[in-house]
Amino acid sequence: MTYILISDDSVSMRQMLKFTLAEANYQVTEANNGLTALELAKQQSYDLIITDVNMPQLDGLSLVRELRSLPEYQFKPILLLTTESDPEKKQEAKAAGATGWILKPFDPDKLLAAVRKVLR
Amino acid sequence: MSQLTTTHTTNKYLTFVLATEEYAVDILRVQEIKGWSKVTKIPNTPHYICGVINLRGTIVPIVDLRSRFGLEHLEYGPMTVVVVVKVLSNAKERIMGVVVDAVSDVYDVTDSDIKPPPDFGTVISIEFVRGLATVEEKMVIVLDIDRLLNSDELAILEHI
Amino acid sequence: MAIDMTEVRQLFFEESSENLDVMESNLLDLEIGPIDKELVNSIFRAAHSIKGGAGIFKFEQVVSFAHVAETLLDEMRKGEHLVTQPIIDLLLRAVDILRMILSSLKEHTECDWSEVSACQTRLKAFLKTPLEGESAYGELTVSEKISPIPQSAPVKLPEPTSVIPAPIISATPLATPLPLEVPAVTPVTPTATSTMPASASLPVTSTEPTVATASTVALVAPTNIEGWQIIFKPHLEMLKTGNDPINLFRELAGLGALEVKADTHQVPTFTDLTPHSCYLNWELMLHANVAKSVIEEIFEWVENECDLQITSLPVLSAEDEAPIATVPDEITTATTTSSHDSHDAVSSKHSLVNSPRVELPPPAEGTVSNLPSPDEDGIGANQPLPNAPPASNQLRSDQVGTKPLSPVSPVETPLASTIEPLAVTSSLQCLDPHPLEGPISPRGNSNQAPETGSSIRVGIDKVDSLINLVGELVITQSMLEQVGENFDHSKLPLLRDGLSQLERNTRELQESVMRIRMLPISYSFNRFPRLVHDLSVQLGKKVELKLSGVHTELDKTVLEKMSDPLVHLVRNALDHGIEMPAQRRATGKSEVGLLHLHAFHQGGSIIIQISDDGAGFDLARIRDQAIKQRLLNREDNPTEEQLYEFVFQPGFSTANQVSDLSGRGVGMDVVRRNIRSLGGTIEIQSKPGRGTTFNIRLPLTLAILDGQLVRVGTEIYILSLLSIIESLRVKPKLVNSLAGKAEVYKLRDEYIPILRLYELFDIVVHCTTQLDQGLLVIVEGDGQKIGLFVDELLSQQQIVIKSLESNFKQMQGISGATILGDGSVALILDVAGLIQLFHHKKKIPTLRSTFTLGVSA
Repeated sequence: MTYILISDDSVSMRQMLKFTLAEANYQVTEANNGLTALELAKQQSYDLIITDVNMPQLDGLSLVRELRSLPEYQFKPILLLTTESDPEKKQEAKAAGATGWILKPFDPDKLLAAVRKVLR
Repeated sequence: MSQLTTTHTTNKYLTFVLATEEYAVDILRVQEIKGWSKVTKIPNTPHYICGVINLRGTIVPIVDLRSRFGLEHLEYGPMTVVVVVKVLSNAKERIMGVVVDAVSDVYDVTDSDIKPPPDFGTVISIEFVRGLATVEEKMVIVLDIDRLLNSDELAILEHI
Repeated sequence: MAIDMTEVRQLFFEESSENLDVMESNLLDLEIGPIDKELVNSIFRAAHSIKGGAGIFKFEQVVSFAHVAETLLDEMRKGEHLVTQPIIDLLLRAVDILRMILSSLKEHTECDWSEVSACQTRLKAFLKTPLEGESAYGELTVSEKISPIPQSAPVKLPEPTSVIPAPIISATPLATPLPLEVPAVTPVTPTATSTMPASASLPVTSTEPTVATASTVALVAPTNIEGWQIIFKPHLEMLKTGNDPINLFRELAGLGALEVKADTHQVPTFTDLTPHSCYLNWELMLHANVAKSVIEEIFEWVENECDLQITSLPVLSAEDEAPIATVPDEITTATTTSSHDSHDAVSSKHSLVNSPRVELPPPAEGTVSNLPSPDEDGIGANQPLPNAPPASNQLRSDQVGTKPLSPVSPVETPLASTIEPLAVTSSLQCLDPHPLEGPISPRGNSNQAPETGSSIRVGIDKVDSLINLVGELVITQSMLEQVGENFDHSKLPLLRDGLSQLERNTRELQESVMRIRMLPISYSFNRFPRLVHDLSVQLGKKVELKLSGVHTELDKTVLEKMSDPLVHLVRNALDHGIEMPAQRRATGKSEVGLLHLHAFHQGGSIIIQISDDGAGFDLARIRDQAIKQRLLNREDNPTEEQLYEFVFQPGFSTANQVSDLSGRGVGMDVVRRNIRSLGGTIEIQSKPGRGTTFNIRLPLTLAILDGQLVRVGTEIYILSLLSIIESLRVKPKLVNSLAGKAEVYKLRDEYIPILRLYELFDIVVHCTTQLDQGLLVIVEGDGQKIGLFVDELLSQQQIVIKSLESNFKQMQGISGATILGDGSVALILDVAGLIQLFHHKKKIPTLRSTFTLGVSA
């Protein structure tokens, strides 16, 4: 069973993610802001974390940095969900330690492809 | 004139007595059978609407079938029976009680056994009748329960 | 996809509506001057959310519009703009526009696109940095696309060690087909596809390249690539990003036959080894007819953490076993094995090691479905592109001077067999064959999920309280059950206790359940800051809005129905109540008028007060107007209350000017009618020159009313206590007849029509017909007073309103029914309806209580 943590403050986005991933038999946990996501990640180990960039309390980039500072998540894949496409933002993401990014709007198949790209 | 299906589906019907005639309604439309209880009259309604009662918290109108069919009125009393039915009106389901003399039995009737009613010869108006059936050698008038309180009347009532 | 999109769609609309509210209220809170970062940030996030969500449903217009707004907000939060009134107003306008677009999408109605683009243009005018190549969602002018290519090429291969020649663009023979190479192809949108066939060169970009799956660039795949050689040298730290080479290889393997050769010479001795560092390098041979960009995308995420070199393998003829030649990576379709000219221009410094191949099983059949169809050129056995045939066809016909290569032996392109079915689906597949609601789509599918009742959000605390109370009820019930067993008189006190407990439980449960339908009035009040802001600007007045008691809760339906009346009253206050600044100054008031909306609970009701410190009602003017409208005679001396009553008459208005906001006199009567239909009341308090207060009292719940039981004959009816003014014994000499048809009762200085209920209801049994034997209940309905003649007044009690129409129908004069303690049904009377019924039956024209005494005795 593969455990994925998703973090996004938009309910509809979370629904989309959750449905798509659940359909592919991933076990999904939701968080609606970065801080909650961080707490959840600390409590349990997840195989992949997908987070939005713009969230209240703790934004995506900060979440990535925080996660990377935890030994548990040093090498775990973390993907950022973002609508930004300019290279600068991508570099920011990488600099923060993200494994990769998924651009919104995403096609469910693309999402799954990206997920497979980082999971064994 | 109601449509008659010529299928061979058999349904159960509840029969009851009104004056000298026997009538039948689809048992699936019957919610319950109860005795007479005090009715609250509603002003400015047709004579066949007795009023409304409280049926476990729901307000249910009571229709006097004798009145509806133009038959002689009988006093209500402990022997009076009210059949609570589900009526479809304007695609809406309503619960209604109909006052009858007595309830008989439940019989199986096949759709193909229900013959169209003659244009004359029955006591009641054709519009309420789906057809005639023979049950245990008796003639039974199969009612179109939805017509008992149809939409026209509901509209008319509103225009007082 | 088995997702229930309608539900998620609904969620999106709800969510966006909330986001728009947040934007609006925050915008109104913004102060002119330096930026409040937090506020702007939250506005930005809301816009961003809307944009993201809209993208899911392919609401292109929302996305593009929101994008512009979001960009402006982004600049603002970076400090590139100061907050000015124009910017706030423009953004408020943008919020309106978004609301409009979303509403039209939700309801499948038309939208005024000229307004949208007008606003969009204005927003853009503010931007410091022009938007990147007008996304594919915007106008799709192909020419624009071509230029930004160099910058938008996502794969910037690291310069230093790589000998990969400068990207793509440089090769000359490739004039036309060039843009094709750009991986940033996202023909995701229906609009994009539609323009594709039209243009010779591909309408390339959205500025948003999609997730790197190999397939994305199916469009641009050349026809005759045998494969690629990929030298992949991860930096030591690459694994720290969470990327794992094996996953990348798996993706590659999904494109075609993959041979992997590892280079271990960098691996240190065991003691020097750090497990998390990547010491391996690989050389991969991918035999797949894909564009380079496809491969680049697979490595997109690690491009900065590795050295990557991708060179193409030339097409091998069946007999040709030559080592893989070095071919420049501008795999252009112009290249053929026979023409080596371009090759010389570029040389690869890598020689490929001819080493035993490690074959990975060839890819899944399904996965190559998106490779372009070389069928037309008679090559290979590829399956055609599912969604972009036009484009790829275009592609090929554009290839000036290209000769198909010597037929690629199908052998070399292993497309048939299967592997783990990596869903290498074309990005084009996300094209919705039925583009979701374009803005102009007619109301064709109005059968779409009808608004099946709104929903309500309930705080967990309310639910918990409910659960507790039900629990207590259960306890009481079992206690009573015990009492009931083997009951005898000694158990009476216990029974009494149980019953009183039951009464308490029921009452508390009732209150608790009612509360579920309650929402704080802030839901309604919240629209006023915006309204007042806009109105005061429009009217040129200065108004300060004060809201208090915003947390006061009331029934959801009451709240909804009070919305319009409140708006009307506020508009009135601004339009006619509060004076122009100059005028206010002249009378010694502050220039800024105060409008105060205040809500609080009182007893079983909620009181809403709308007060202003404006000019107040001019009683003399009301009097004059009433006389003019023949509602009053010159000699009459009405009380203040009576004068205010005129304000509620339809068509009555003392406004000098009829502004388009109010003043037509159509509002107040409707307002009061609405309030009354909810079982509430409205009163005016005013002091000329000082201000006006409207006091609205509303029941906390619609399902229950305080009723007065009355008896007529053997029938019991209920009257709402709120509608009763007084009850009295009839003094026969005060009864007068009017034109022989109607009776009126002289009550102080009014003549009130008498309505004999037994007559109206055709009650003949046991009822009192002599007026002096019964009671007259003076009630008010619809602005009229009437006296109902009944036999007797019974008790007053709380009445649970039960619907008469659910099984029967609505009756004039009857608003519902209730079940009395003895189980019998009692009808609830509706005064306004009774009056109408009365007139109809008696066939007399509207009888109003009159002030004059000119009635013959």
